[in-house]
Amino acid sequence: MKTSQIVDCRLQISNCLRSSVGILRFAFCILIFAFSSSASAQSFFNSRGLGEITPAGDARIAALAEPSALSTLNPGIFVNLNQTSFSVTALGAATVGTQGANSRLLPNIRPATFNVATPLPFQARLFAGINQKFGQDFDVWSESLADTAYRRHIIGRGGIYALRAGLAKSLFGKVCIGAEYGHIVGGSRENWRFELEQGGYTSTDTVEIDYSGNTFKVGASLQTRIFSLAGYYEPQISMNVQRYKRVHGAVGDTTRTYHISLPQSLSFAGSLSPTRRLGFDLGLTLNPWSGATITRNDSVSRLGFGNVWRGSIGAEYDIDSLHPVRIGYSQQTWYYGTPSDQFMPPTAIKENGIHFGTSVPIPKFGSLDISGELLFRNSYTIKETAGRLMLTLAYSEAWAKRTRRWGY
Amino acid sequence: MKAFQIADCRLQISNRIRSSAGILRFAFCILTFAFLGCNTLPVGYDQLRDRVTGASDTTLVADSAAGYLRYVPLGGSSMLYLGRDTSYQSRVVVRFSIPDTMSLDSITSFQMVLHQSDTLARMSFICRPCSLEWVESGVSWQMSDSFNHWMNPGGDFLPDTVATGTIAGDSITIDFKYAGLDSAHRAAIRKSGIGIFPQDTGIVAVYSGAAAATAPRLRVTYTNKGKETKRVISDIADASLIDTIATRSNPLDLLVGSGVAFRAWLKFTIDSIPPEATIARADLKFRPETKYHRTDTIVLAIHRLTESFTEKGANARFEAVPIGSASYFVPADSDTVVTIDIRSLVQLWTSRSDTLRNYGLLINAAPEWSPLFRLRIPRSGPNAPRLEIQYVLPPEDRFK
Repeated sequence: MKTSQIVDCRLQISNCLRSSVGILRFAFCILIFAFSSSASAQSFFNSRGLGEITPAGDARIAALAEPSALSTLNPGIFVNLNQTSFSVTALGAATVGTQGANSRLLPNIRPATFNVATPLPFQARLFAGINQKFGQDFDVWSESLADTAYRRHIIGRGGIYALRAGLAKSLFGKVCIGAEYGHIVGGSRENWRFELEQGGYTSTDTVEIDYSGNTFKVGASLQTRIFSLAGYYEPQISMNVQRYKRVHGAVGDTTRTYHISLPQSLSFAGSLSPTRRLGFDLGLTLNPWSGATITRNDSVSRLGFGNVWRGSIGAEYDIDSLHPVRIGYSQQTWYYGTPSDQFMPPTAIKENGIHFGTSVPIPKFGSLDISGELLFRNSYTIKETAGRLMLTLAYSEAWAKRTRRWGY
Repeated sequence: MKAFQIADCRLQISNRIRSSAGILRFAFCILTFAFLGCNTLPVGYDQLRDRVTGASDTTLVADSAAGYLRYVPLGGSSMLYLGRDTSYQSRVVVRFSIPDTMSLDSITSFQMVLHQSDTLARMSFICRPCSLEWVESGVSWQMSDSFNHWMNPGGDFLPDTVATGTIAGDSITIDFKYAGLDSAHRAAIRKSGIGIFPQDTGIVAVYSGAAAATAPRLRVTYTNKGKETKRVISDIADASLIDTIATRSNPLDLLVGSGVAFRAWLKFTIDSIPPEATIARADLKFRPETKYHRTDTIVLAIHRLTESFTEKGANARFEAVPIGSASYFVPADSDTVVTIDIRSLVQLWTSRSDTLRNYGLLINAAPEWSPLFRLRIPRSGPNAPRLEIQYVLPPEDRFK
């Protein structure tokens, strides 16, 4: 009997190891696929403003409705960083837009973020990462009316990314403060196509926009076993924008240079863990961007963005020591609305989201965090339902259970 | 034990049913997503409303038009035309390079072989020696080369007939009475070639030297060192010399034709189209009237003028490479409209108006030695040339 138990135990261990390798291989494949893909998250609303504000890009945070102050976007989140850690996230998204009686799906998959952090002497931390701040991917067709046989097809691809690096200092094992420098790079390319009457397309215009700039962020967090408080402040996002418009037929390129300035952003979050297995969190992000300006040839004008906020509430419950489940709800208004016309004023884009997820521990590696999100966006004319699946492969030097420990 | 087996079996069946339903549901989801993902329905286009500047359609009529004819060199064509009818007459000139090793006095037999494309056609003809040298690339009804006129329009020939024949079937061998010719005739044939004159009504097409297998050729028999030698010599130059009575047609007619080249010049004012517009479509349309045709498929080409027609008239130069072309099928009914895509030309005119001036366009036969035809293009009315243009303006900036 004893021998049989030992054999059984060995078998279980072997299975467990095999399954870990399988999970790793699966996660690796997904990530490679995501990183080799050029598409990114699309929205029917992305053709305006700077595009959609992209999520933090961490499946664990996404499952809790994305309280971004508790994510690695907060430079002061690294209270308990004992090992060098990194995480890489892939995002798969499918967006169904409905306008009138028409529905259309825009599916895609893309890399979301890469973050790395390492402890330094004197409880200091060095961290870096790359993430998308705004997504500008869209794909729309014009209507085909009786008196216009032609159609337009406009495809936008691109986004604005932040290359981040910073330093943090943990104090008393419970508090952390940090500062981060971000270099903003990115670009979008819009291809305006015109469907010919005889069939086929002619590519009429290409609009390319390059963004570059710098940003600075400070953040802090207080983390105890019972509760955590976190917040960060980004004084301004300042970008130089260069626009190239290539009119293919006329073989004439035009270039314009702008300067875009977004006012400050603030994000706060708090979490409460009444028991070791249960926790709640609240998040609030404020983007008072009505003062956003664009400067052209020394002429400054407002971009027409709004003062908006995003709120979230989430909960996490550990079924057992290795299997947490997470759920959350978020609500926000986009910082820009739909365009106005003679019949209709500009309309705000409202978004409600349901978030859920879990984690799968990977022995001797870290964990694979999985999140699913359903986002319901409404404007006056379009309803959009976006489903997002996020996978974060998180590595720690020595495996440790990750539970309600913000940052890493 | 048996009860356990039955329970296990039931469980398996239940699992399979569940799994089948799951597969069906999954397939339904995939199909729904595929439908939603593949369609091109207009969702979200209104988000770009303030950036779209729109597309415009415009139809222009020619504000200047003229026609002219040219006796174009027809050397180097793939077919030679021989014949005459109420509208055209055509002769053929051919020249051979007879090597110096063949002493004129030693030639005992001198035969010319011609091949025709239509094996049912028949044409009697006579051959006369040319009295004036000509150049294949420049020879026409009026010119012996690019610079010199014939002394007599239609070519200069000696008056004597050196051979006669009737072409029928796929080829003919013409026997020259070479032994009876005097040295002046022999020298003229050798130096300037042979003219072939039609004797019947109708026009036949003879293969030119462009294709080696069917090229006009000589079969020469001569005596070399007391031994009879035979040699086949392909022609080195050939051309049709074509004239038409249509030169006396209404000078206001816009004619397009081959053989004797009729060309029509049209000018459209396109200043109303913004220079930054992308031309999505520019079709030149007209409904011609067929005046003469020896083929049912007529190819027309459009050329860009590089010089002002109003200043230089018929001497205005044009680009050799056509901008566009279209086949016109001589219609059983009269509804056939010629449509020629000249989008690239209109785009050049609108976007590069500073360097590429709009001097108008030329409609001609492609090529001008193609089987004889002549079309009349109305100057006005619903069948007159019109230029249908659709253009797209660039979008507004993302940030305003």
